[in-house]
Amino acid sequence: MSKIKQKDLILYSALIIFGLFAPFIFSAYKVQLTYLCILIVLAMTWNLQGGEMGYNTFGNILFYGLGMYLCASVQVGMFFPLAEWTESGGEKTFVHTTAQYFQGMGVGLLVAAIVPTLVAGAIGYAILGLRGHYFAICTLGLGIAGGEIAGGIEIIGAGQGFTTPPFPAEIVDNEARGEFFYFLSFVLLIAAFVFVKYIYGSRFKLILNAIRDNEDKAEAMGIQTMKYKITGWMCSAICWVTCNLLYRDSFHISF
Amino acid sequence: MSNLVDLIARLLISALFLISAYNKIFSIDGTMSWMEGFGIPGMLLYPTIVLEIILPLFIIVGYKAQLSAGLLAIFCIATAFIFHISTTAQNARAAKILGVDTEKVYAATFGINAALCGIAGALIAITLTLHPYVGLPYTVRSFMIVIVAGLGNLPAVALSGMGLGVFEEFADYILGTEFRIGAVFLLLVFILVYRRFKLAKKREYLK
Repeated sequence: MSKIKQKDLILYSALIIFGLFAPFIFSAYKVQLTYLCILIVLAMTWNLQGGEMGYNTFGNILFYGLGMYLCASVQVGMFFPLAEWTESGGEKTFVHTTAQYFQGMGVGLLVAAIVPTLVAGAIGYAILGLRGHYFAICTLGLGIAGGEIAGGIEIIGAGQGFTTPPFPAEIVDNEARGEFFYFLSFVLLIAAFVFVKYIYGSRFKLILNAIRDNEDKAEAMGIQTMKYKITGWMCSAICWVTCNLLYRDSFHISF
Repeated sequence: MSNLVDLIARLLISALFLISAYNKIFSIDGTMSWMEGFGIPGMLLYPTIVLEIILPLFIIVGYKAQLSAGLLAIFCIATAFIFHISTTAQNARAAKILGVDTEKVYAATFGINAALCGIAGALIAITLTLHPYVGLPYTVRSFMIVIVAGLGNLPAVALSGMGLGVFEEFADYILGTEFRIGAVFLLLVFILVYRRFKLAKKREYLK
């Protein structure tokens, strides 16, 4: 961290201070500011894969969706029968207490962060052997297939989608909900930025660039390209996955 | 004087074909696999070489010169249609150097593509309901059909298109309508992954 220049330091502190006060200054735009943070994270991590590694993917949305459904399912399924919840109108029958809500969300977050990242690692070996257009179209197919299949599974709401648990009613302050999600996504943004910045300063980024510029030569130089490609893909996936939780909480999920 | 110019012209024109035949003889295997890459049987290489040697010799000697020249012209036109559009696809820059107007070839290919798509769209409009989002499934499906068949392999493309149609109906019947499109896209992923593993055995990759 000592390498950060003074000019950058001023910029970063200014941005952090702005970020901390933004929801209070522009209190009407809290939801938009939350999405701003999330979209920045998505763009940053897509760049890791598409820009630095040269593997253009349209399928990261698969991890996003997987995390979304997993987190919501865990949050509901821990306390109530999932199938009844997702029946039309079912969500009105059950109410989370404040403790249940945050407990469920914490566990859901953990599951949603781990499982899709493992999935990314598992399918990475098969998919990352493709190159160029083939990789792009394969991930696009994967993303669409994931959406279509999710739209067919009854227990997670099928075509009508999944209504996420409402924010606990005991917290009466209307502002609290928006602020809670804003700061969660802001912390995520900072964490993701530090993570990406750390990667950019490491050998790992140079290896990703080598793979982008000429994969065959990179391999000839002794880089185990597949290993690094999968790692890069998982790095990208984990950020996408953690993003979704914040996004889904203000929304009704549908495929 | 005009006889001399004639002779030089004959020699030069013939030399083009003779050099090409010479190159083919010394890389028979390479040329064969190159031809097979276009879907042309490699065995045709031998008659081609014979043609490229005998006809120019006839032209030089002056025996049936007009007939030989005519045959060579037909040969050139035929190969231009089979190989030149593909040449643009393989190496646009080299094709340009060799005198193919790559921009025109691109434009023509795109034009043919657009015309066929327009016809297909008109036919679809007769049978299906229309909405702005019909597009994406077709885009990915058409890509998928071509990938399964192999790029540039016309009969196989037609066959695999029909096969995909049958698969979709079966998926609809067996898995249920809600998984119909999902099954098609998963099949795309499986086919690409299958081909990737098959090629990986030879340390190659899809490109």
